[in-house]
Amino acid sequence: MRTRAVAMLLVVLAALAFTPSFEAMPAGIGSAGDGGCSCHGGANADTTVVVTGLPENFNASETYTFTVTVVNDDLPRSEPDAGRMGGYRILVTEGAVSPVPDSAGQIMDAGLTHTAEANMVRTWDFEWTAPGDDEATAEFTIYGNAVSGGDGPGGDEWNVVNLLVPGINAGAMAPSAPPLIILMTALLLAVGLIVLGTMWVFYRRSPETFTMGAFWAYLKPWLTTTDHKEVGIMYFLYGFLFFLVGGLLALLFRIQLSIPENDFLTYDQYNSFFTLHGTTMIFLAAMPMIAGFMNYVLPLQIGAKDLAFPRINALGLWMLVFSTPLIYTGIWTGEGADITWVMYPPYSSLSEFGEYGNNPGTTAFIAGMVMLGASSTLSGVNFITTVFTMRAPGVTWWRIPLFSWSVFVSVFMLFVSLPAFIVGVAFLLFDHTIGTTFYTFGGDPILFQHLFWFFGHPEVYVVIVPAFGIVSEVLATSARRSVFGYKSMVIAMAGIGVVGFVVWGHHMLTSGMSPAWRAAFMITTMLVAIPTGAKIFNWLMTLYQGSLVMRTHTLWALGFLITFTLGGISGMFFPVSGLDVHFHDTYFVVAHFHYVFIGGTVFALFAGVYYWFPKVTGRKMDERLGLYHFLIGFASYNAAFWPMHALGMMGMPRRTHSYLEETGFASYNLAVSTFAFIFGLSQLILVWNIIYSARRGEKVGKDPWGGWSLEWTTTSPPPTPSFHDIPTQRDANEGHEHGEKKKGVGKRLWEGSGTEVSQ
Amino acid sequence: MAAQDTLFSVLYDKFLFWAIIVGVLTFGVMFLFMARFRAGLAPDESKSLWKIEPGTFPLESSNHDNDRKLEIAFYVIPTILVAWLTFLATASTADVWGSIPDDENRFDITVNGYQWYWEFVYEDPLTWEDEHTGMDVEVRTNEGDVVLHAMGLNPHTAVVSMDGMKTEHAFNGSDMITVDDFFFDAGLHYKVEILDEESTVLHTWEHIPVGHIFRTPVEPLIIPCSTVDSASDDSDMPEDGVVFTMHSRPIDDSDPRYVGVQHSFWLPEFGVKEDLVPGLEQGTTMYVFPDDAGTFPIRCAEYCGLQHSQMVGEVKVVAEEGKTCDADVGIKKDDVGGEA
Repeated sequence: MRTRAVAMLLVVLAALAFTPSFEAMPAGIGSAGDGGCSCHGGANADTTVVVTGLPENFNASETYTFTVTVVNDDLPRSEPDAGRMGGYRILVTEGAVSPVPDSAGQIMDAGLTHTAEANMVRTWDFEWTAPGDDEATAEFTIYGNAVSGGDGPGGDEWNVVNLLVPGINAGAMAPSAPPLIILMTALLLAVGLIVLGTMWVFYRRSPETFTMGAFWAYLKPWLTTTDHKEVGIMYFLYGFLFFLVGGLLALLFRIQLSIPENDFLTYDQYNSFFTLHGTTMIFLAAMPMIAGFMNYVLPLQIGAKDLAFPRINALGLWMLVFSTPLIYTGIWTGEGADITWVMYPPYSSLSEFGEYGNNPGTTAFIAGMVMLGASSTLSGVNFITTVFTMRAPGVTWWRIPLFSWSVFVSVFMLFVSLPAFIVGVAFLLFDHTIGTTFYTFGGDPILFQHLFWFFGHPEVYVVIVPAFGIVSEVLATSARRSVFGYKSMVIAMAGIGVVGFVVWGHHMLTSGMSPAWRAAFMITTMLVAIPTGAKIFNWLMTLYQGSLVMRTHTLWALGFLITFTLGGISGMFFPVSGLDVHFHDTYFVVAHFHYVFIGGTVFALFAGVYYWFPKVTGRKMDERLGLYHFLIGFASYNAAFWPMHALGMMGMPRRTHSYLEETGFASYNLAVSTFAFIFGLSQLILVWNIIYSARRGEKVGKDPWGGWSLEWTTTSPPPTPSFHDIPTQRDANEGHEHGEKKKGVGKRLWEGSGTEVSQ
Repeated sequence: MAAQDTLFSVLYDKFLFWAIIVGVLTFGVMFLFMARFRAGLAPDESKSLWKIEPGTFPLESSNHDNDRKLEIAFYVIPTILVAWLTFLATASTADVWGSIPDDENRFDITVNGYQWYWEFVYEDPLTWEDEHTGMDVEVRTNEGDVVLHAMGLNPHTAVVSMDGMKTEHAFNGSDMITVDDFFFDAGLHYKVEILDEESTVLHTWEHIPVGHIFRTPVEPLIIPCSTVDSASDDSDMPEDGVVFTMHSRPIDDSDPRYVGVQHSFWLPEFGVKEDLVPGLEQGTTMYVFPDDAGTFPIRCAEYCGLQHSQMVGEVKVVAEEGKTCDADVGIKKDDVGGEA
């Protein structure tokens, strides 16, 4: 046993040793927008750029003459009449550079670039007029290109040299750090402050008896707990924290997109931000928040004392927590992962190709994804086992509350789809680090797309199906009746669970798939609308003949009905290949999945928060704050995401760093950004409401809303273990015979409908 | 968006129609029930009617038979709607996926995607000239000269480019000049531009030979518009279209592990895009049937790295010399899929 552990450790260490080391500095020539040039090919070490004549320190307003020479022995200077030989580009932060003679240069994209005439040599003279302020420091970025002599850019070899020329009175240069690093460090500090704040609160309880040992004794049960309720609370709070972090990232790139040709963020930062935003929101926010509800509510609803494997449950939580630093770690090297949340190779597997490859943070990011997959697998095993084996007497398959049913369907899908994801991402990690070629050069990049979406599409149902469960519970309780069509709802969820596995191809309709497969995936995807439609109609009928009490959770559930239906309708546009070839990867898609993720999952989670908060804390949340949260949140949400449909129609691609003025995207984008900020800020009301109500909220008994399922029969908050004695669920339908039940379907059809049943 | 009627715009209108119907009905019913059955208005005996008490599975239904019928109907209604939408979609989808223009009439272009620009290689020659400018460029290939007419306008100079060598010719107030020493070889690139005093281009004539290459962002892609309407009745598509065969290429082929990255060639105005898959030898195919002349954007839709957002360009739809883009060929809003 021990030898095996040592052997495995050695393998891991060897893998780490061969893993490409992180590089903090960006390589290559940036683009015009970056302040660089759009030169050809990658930077090449065979080329040397020599600069002579610049002073060590400059005097104010003095003019200096300097020479730039490109040296490359592999591409010797061809004969003068052989055509082009070299090119340059000079960027300087202070003063002004002019070529000698004037015709040897032109200003292009805010930098000095060679003209066709200067293309014929490899050495150029310049004049630099120093700035009037001799306390400044001038930064020179000088690109030199050795042209192969051919017509196209192929074969050219360029390099770059960076020089600093401080003025004679310039002080020592202040160290600079990329804003991303500052931001993430601030977030890390915030987490530290939360820990300190917890300590302070604990200290204030009894300042006299406070010791670190006592604090640890207070903290330790939380860190080592296996109780499903405490793990659930931690899951939720962790997810909610990252919901805010992911939202903050989104707001930052919404600033970037609010006006055309903006340079608030660099390409690098923008690409990392949307990658981390997507990954955070799905894997670190939505899934943990759902896991929080699953953990807390499911055992209570089915009358179990705890989950089947409490320690595996805690292991899942801590694996999730420790995968987070892996996902974010690239940021501190200066370049976070920039491979999008779908991680398509070959881009994501290119580890050492300068600016053409991905950022160094990608390695740890992919490793983090593998760890997330492992964490979710553990949850899946645990919940499936729990539902199968630990239901209380009376909680038969057709009597499980709908939320627990939805969790069961959801974890089942997760468990079945995850192997494809883990295999796909593990191969990607091998491609990225040890040079296998599953997805490049002899391998097939499309293979990854199949593996990813075989997981990825069920995954989106994994996060929406529990939302269906929450809304079913909330609407039925608020309407003071049972949910309409309980069995039909269960069948619909199970149907979505099955059909969800054969629709993944609609994410790949433009990947060169054969028309026959496009048509096949179109039809299977359209089928999803049938159970989803049935669910929406059933929810509407749940309102019928009820007595709808308008509480905050009711409002969010009704809001869910509106936004999720809108998201569902726009979803009908994608499977059609004739429409998808336009919509694929546009803002229309962005609008659609934010309508189902936020308008669906997140709104339902909000409803769940207001609904189960009394069960968790024994106190109600403030209804007035809740109403403000709903009104501001719902209105600003729709105002922020609805215009994205129009942007997609107009032709704005997703993952785009900037757009030109003449595209006409500007006004919509400004509206989107403005309302996104309001939506983001409105979440602070929820934060305050949770903190305030946990301490000052109105105290409640066992069943504040009039729900029927087993969690409302226990105290608020429930004891640990959750039930002293396993309860028995009764059934009001027993002995309640339906007059026409015995008649066969055929006979009823023959006799016609509704003749005996008069209202 | 689409100024041109494409399959996309026609299908979109139909789907939008049904989307609005579904939305209005659903939300109408929802608001009606919300208002009618809200607490205070509706009697609050419902709780006992459904036998709701903690720990007891409530009565599933108060009117079992009617409810069961409704539940089944809730599956049947979406099924019918989905079947109808699928029919709409396949009926017109078959039009596009099944009608690659045949070899004889189509215009072939190879598209190469690099990080981060597009390259267009012409597989067919194209000779085109601006329409409706009141000017005319007449190339007399057998006489070795080119005649430039500019009726009623005020041309200043003409720039004649033969395989990259440019010569300038002044009009000097006349509205017609003849340029000698113009030797036409179909394998070379020729361009004639008539400029006014401010060097604005008034009129262009161009011959693009087979194998000629344009690269974004400086040069636009130039494609001819469709002019031959389909002879057969079962297709709404013209017989001549532009077919793109697309490859993703590495910018530097010194390392075999670097095979390029995914791109997606998107013409928003035509409502089509297709991915460029690295390493796929035969490439992927996409085709358009341009209707109106004009200049439209090209964008990259699949994330391809640092400067993904800068991978843009323009496509210029022109009339082949001697033809005109005024003919209304191809798909029209009213005549696809009949009703709705």
